Amino acid sequence: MRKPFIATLISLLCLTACDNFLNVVPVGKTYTSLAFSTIEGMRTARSGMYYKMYELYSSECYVFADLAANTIILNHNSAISDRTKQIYDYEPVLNQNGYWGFLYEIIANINQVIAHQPALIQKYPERQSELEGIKGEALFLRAFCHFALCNFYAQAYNYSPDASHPGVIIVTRNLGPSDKLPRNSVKEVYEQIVADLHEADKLLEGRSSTSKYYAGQQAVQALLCRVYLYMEDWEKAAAYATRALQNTKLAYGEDYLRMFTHLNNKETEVIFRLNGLKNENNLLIRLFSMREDQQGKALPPPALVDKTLSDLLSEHPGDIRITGLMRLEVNTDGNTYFSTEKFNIKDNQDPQDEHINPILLRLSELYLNRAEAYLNMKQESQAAADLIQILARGLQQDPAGFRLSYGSSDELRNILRKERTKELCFEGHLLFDLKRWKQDMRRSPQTTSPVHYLPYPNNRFLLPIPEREIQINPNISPNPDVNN
Amino acid sequence: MTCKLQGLFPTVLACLIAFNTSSLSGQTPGPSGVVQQQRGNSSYKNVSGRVVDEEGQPLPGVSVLLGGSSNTGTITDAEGRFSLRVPDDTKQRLRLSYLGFKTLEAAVSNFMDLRLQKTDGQLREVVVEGGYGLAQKRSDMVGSAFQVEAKQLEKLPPARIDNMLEGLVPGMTVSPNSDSEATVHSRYKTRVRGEGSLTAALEPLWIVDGVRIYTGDRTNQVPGANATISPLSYLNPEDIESITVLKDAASVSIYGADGSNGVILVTTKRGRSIRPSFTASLTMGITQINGSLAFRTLDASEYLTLARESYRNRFATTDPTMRFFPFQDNAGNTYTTTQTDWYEHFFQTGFQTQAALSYSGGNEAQRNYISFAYFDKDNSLRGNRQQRASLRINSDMRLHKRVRLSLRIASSLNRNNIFSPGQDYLSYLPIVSLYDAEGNLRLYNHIYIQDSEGKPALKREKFLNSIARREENEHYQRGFANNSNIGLQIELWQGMTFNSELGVDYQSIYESEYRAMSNWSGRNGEELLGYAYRNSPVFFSWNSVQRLNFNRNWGQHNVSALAGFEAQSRETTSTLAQGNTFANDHIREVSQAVNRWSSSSFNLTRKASFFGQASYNYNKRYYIAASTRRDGSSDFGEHVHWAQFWSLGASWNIHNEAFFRSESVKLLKLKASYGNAGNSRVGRLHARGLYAYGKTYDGRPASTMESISNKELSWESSYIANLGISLRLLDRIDIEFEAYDKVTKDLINKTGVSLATGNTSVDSNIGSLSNRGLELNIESQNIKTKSLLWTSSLNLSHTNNIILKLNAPRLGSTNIVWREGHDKNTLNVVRWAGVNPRNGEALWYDARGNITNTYDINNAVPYRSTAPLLTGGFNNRLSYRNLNLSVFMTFVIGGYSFSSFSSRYSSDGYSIMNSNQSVNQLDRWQQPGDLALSPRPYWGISTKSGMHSTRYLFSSTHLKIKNIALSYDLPKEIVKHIGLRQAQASLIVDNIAVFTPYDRAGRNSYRQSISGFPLETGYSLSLNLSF
Repeated sequence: MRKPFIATLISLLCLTACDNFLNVVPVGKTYTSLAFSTIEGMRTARSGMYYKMYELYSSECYVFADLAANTIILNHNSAISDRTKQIYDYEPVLNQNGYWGFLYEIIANINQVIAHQPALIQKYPERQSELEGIKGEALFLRAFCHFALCNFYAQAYNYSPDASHPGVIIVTRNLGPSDKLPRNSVKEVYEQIVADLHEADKLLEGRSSTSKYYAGQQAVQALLCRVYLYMEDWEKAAAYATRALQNTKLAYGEDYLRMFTHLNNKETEVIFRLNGLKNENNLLIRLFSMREDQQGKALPPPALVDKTLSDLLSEHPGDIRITGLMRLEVNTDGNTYFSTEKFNIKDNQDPQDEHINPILLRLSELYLNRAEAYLNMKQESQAAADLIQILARGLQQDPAGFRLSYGSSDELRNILRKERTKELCFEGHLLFDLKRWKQDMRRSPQTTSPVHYLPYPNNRFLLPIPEREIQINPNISPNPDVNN
Repeated sequence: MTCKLQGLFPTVLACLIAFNTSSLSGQTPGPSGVVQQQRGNSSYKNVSGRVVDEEGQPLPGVSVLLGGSSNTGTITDAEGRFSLRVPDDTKQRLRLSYLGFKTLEAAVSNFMDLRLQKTDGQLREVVVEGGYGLAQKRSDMVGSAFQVEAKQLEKLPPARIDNMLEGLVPGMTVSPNSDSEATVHSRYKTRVRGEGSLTAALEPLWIVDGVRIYTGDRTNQVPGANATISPLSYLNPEDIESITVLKDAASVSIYGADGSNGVILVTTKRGRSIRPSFTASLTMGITQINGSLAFRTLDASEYLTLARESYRNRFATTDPTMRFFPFQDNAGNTYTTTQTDWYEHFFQTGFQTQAALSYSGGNEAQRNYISFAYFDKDNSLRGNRQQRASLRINSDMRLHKRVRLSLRIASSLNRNNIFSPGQDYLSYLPIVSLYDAEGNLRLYNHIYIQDSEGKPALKREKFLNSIARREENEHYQRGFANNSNIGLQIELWQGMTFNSELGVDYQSIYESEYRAMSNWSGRNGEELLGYAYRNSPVFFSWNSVQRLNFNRNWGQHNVSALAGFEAQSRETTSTLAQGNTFANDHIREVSQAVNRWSSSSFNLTRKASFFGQASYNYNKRYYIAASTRRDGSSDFGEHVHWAQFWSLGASWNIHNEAFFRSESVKLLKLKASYGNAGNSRVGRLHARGLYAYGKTYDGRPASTMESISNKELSWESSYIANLGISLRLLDRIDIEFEAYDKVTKDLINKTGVSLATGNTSVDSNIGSLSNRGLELNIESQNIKTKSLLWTSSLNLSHTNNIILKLNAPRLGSTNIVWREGHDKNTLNVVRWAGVNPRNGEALWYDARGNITNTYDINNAVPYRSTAPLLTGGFNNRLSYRNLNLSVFMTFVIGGYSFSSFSSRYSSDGYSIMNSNQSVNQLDRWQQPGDLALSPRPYWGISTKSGMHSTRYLFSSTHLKIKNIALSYDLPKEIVKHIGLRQAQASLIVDNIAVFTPYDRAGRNSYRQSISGFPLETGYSLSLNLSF
């Protein structure tokens, strides 16, 4: 009888053919394994990591450390994000995922790239060099994100003698739904950051970074310098500053201003910045630019410069950082304030594509880092020499002839801290610096925030761990005071 | 991946055809269907025949017995056909019996065409459709299925078929998706035996003549269009022969992953007999908003009184003379003398027409049913009109003695004009006129404000006039739907048929919208732009079924079996173009716009399934049945591509037992079944983890992680146990009682994950819930005399929903909390404690039951359930000579309903300047000692008294008179005289009234907020002729 045979054949045919019949991939998306099956897929995932970074750092997150410190007067009535106001007013909102969620999302993207890289090297041996470079960049970005998480959610490295106080969760692999990890200590997180950066340093060795929009070896070393500075490992901080500063030159005068105000500039000073081309996030631009009311009358920007900072900048007349990067505004309350030009892009050609390219690492910071390291290594003259580079550039003088007088190392430390505040304002450093300098946060009486003064040490310097994480993850410990 | 498919089908078909031919050659039939066989000493022959009723309709399930003996016999199949092996020399006659028909005895001949006559006025035994060729007599059923016949539908409003089923089927409810007053084109939700899922679709599967039809997504929304027009409105109800609702595991397991919410089979009419017959019908009617059900708002003088009082309550000290009261007469607005009834501007007397012509007839080899119908409904809400032209050709051909071909081709062209006023018909102030002083449609109001110098000043304010939108904008949707099926049936040998079917459901929608710059909808601020939108979603799905059906009797042993393979594919595409900034309002095409955008999308889902069913009965007494299905779906992750479903059932016809002798009980049947079915419609599951594209970095394409993988995820599955008893008393009363327990396991919902994973939540299996219920259906002939017949049918259903297991309590939709051990529709609201008689403040209970004057959402407690105790329908038909009267009522007993919309119009002064208020606001607190229902109103101040609380909770108990139809049949003699066969004139009234227990005269209660958008009452006259 042929019938059973044919019947069996039919069912076999159906069974084998059906699995192919059922393999349908949704359009515009692919399964993760498929996304990393080709070198092109890896390249778009690489762009994806940077894109996520841009998405976060083109928001108020970029100036978090300024909003939470004493450089900004915020107009609460203007159309700005609630989160901006909450940071400024120290009213943490628990029911959002926060930077915590965002940074771990970036880390998950990065870990996908790192996890799929070895298989691609096997598949495309001729692409090994490119793929190793991508892994180096991924490790750099992972270190950057863990470092940022510590800054937002943990006390500074020097808060406890052995840095054993709670840090954040170290995530170096792809987690599943049932993974509920506890927080690591700050020490452990920094060890991971340093390890990632050292591996990145090796992988990116000898590669000339063609664009400031991607991390190269210089960016890795610059970040290592900042990390060691936070760890108070002064020798290494100074050493990595020196390595990263090799064959570089600060930007002066018009070039210095254009670095902030023009998309098209020489980029001599920038080590690493993010690219906002064809992306929509204008939160930073809106926060710092002029507005119009319904009648078309000009209104000052939502965020103005606190008197504490503008007084500091007016200390030496003719400082380019006030003449070139500050603008005088009349606020709605009738008082005059400065506003910053650091986000006022003047060569935005296409209004549909208005964007900024946020700077994450630049040379001036390295000089200031090294000056601080030298000072703590009791090498005051070398510290002063680095400080002069920044001071003289600000006053548009030749550093060779610039004289810096200071009576004691404490006075030099004071000058250095002021200079760091002036140079790196609105670039997301101040609150983190106050934390590691063990300083109080004090705002001018004009502040529109209910919070005028927070003494060190303070639990309110930390953001709360998102409520969602605490509810879902039983192993996570909340941040005291802010997490109630 | 797609190319594999093309290979699959021809292969399967070729194999199946090879299978057929081989089996055909295995047994060559003799001439005219008689096979001579020699066995032992006696010779046998096969006789075959077909049994029809008086109208030529085939009668399946007729018992055919040789003489008085019960050893030689069979039953007819779905086509009314039978074949029987009888001794060659038999002298005995065939005895054909069928419940509700006179028993017929006929002499044996080779091919028999037999016609049974109905016994007068008796309850007829229904043949229940089962899908995949599984039609059965009701008394033979093991599973639970309820069938609605064409006769029950013919007087109901023909706009859409789901609405027609409201109250007709025990265990099934049809209600609007939302109680929002702003939803004109409400989507309807259909629920069979409660709600068996938290997040997946709760809608049943609709199948028209074996073809699955697309009824919208998870919540019946049609993606790709701005306005959803239900695809169920594309069908012409007059073409429907029956609608069968399959409910228990024995009936739905064979639909596997799509079966757990019940399956609704729509069977269309077929050519009945050779004799050509024509039916023409014309129905014309009017519709109106039912005044007693419409939400009542304040008239102009009531409004001004309340507005002024609210204003005084707030500004008694700062503005005692009311200098800054906005509504003071001025050149632009005369507030004190204007009295506008906005209902009048928005609503009208609607008009509807349905004209239909159908033909039925054919010859020995071919039977046809052809129908054409046109339906036109100009809604009572102006600016809305539904037009449908439909054509259906159903043809059944006999190509060969053993080969039959069936064709079902149905197309409809639909046009809907759409205007949605939102809530404007309620919220517009009665002191504002439609036209301004110049006689143009009003675009501004002029109100008084306090200027910067502290003096009263006149301010011009935008008035977003939706009537201007209706008159000047354009918005319509055109839908073309085709639902076709071609089927080939080959009789392989006695009792065994092979069926191959290919069905197609195609829906193409074109939506066009233009927002004119002459009103605010076409402007951006003061800028005159004009906006044009063109959307075109297209849904194309096909399904192909190859199956073998087997049906045979050996003496008292009746066996039937089914095995099949089904493949399905659904493709959704949409294109969208939009533009703004036009030169003027005459140029309305996107291509002429200054700014233009376009987008497109594509989505493909595929399923493949194997299924089988087998049943056996002994002597029509003991029945057992089993079914199984294996389903694969492309929507699910690799680990769960395939799922297995099964069912088992048994029934016992006690009335056929020898020991059972009762004059009063004609039928007594017990049945039970158990099995499972799935729910594949949960939206896309990203079990494998996804990467998404569409972003850029540094001008290069970027991809980012969208979801992480959850490999453990599995399908939701419902396990349904069913017990039933059927009883027929005195041939007058039919009672069916069923009890079920449906447990849904592996409920899928988003579950939060540690943010460190990079995701916020993933789809996970989080728990289980159960729906237990009772259903009762009674059909009776109450009075039966020569000239008077009164029949009624009553159905009652009760469902009890309980969440059995849940990983953690979570909030469902608005005001709903999901907790273990509670109904999934449990409300979670703050309890209202009334108005403080001393100061007119609103009071609530806090979580512990103490009275408080502050509203806090944390005081919300799980309160009552929206699930009713009982729902049902009650239908009465009275025939006296040529007059027929039917009255159809539906009712709900128990349960609570939160009226989101009552709360909006009871703001206690908070939004009185922007929105008219409910008449209930008149019962406000005015002075100490007042026992008021509404708090003291304060202009523009939120005391949070309008926040969601039990203040807006109503008992949903109500009785609705849904339909009354009075018809008159012209006397036969007159009809014959003018060359007709039948002529009938009817008067039909729909949605006549709703009764609720807690009404207050002149105030709003549940009656006025029952459906959000007011119900329409329709009056129509209908004329039916057949010749």
